[in-house]
Amino acid sequence: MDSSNCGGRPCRTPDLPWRRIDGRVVVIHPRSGQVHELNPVGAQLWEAADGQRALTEIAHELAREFEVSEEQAGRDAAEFYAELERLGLVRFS
Amino acid sequence: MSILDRMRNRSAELLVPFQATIELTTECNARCGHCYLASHDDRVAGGIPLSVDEWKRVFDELAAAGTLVLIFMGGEALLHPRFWQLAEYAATKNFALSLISNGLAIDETAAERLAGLGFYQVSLSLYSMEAEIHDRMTRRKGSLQRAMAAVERLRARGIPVSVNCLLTSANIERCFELEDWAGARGASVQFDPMVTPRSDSALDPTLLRATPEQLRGYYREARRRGRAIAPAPVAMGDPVCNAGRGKCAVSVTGELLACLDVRESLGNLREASFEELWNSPRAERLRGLRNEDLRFDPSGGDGAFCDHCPGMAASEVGDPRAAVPFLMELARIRREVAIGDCIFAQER
Repeated sequence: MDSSNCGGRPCRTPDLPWRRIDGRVVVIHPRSGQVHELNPVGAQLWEAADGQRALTEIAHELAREFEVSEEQAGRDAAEFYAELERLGLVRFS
Repeated sequence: MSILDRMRNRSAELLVPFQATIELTTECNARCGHCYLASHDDRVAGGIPLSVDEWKRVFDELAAAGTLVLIFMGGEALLHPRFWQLAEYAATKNFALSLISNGLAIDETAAERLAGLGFYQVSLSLYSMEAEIHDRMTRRKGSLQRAMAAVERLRARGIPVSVNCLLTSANIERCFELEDWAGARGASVQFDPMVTPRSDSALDPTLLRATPEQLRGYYREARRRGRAIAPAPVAMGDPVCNAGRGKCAVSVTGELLACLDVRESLGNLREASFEELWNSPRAERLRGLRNEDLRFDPSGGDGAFCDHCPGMAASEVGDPRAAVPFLMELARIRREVAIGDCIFAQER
């Protein structure tokens, strides 16, 4: 987890091909050709990464919806976004 | 099964048009005798071509309906005077952009722009490693050299390239030389012996089909090279194909089609929204064809090896449910090769 991103706003990389289908998100990285599938929770986090909301806000919503502690939700969301950032699918503003 | 294939199948179950083929123009800079298009003049394509604004609205509606893969084709899509404007707009809609091209217009500048727009795949038509054969099929001298250069340019920029090779009696015998050349450049090759009738149902292109003996040789070599030649088993209650379920096509004049091979229109997107046409009784009827409705048994014997195409059947034998003699011949040969010549000879 990159703690420096906790106050940042995750933002989907513009123009990446993606769609939500049957609760899941499929996203393609054209340069690498890699195709990624996100489960329903991942899909929710993906759609939340609109560059408008801070990671703390997203974690707050996640904690409320899934009835876990905000600390736990924050850790999980940060880890998820860090992985997407590594893959070039998300960046922090 | 890849993630995309799994999503494609799930989309078909949900009637989400995962893949849309955009027939942007019928204009072309080649004159292939096997081409399915009846005309290469947009003005005589049976209506007025969609304007840029109309195409943009179509892209908006497809994106809203869940289309991920947007395939530009023609004719030669790159000849559309506003191709780049439309591709730039489509890129903002988060489509996975794909292009089917003959490669003749892919110079360094075009390759750079395709890469810049994030095209995730370009499929190029190559028919042979011999210029005499390829150029005769396209009726354009120098076309093989230019298509090969296009493959190199695209690969140099990291764009995945797939080579489409339609197999006719003219090119089938040495087609695997193409696979070797493309493979060395990281490009895949799709061979396809299904030469279809033209969009106006004229059968002229079908006269170019490979002979049974040529097809037997092709399938034997395909099997030797590890290509799968036996189709997956079918369930009788399943839809015959994906047309109008997980895929659709839009013609140059805005006709919404279940598939490019099924030319019966679901309606015109100038006159009705995608949602209206996609959920119409006509669409329901077109996508309703199931394996149990076919006039042959697709679960056993030669029929189990038949890649039935309702569009081809409608054009060639006048009934989407009827067996197409050429497809059944292909099925017989595939089965013969898959089972083994000796065993099959005893059966006969």
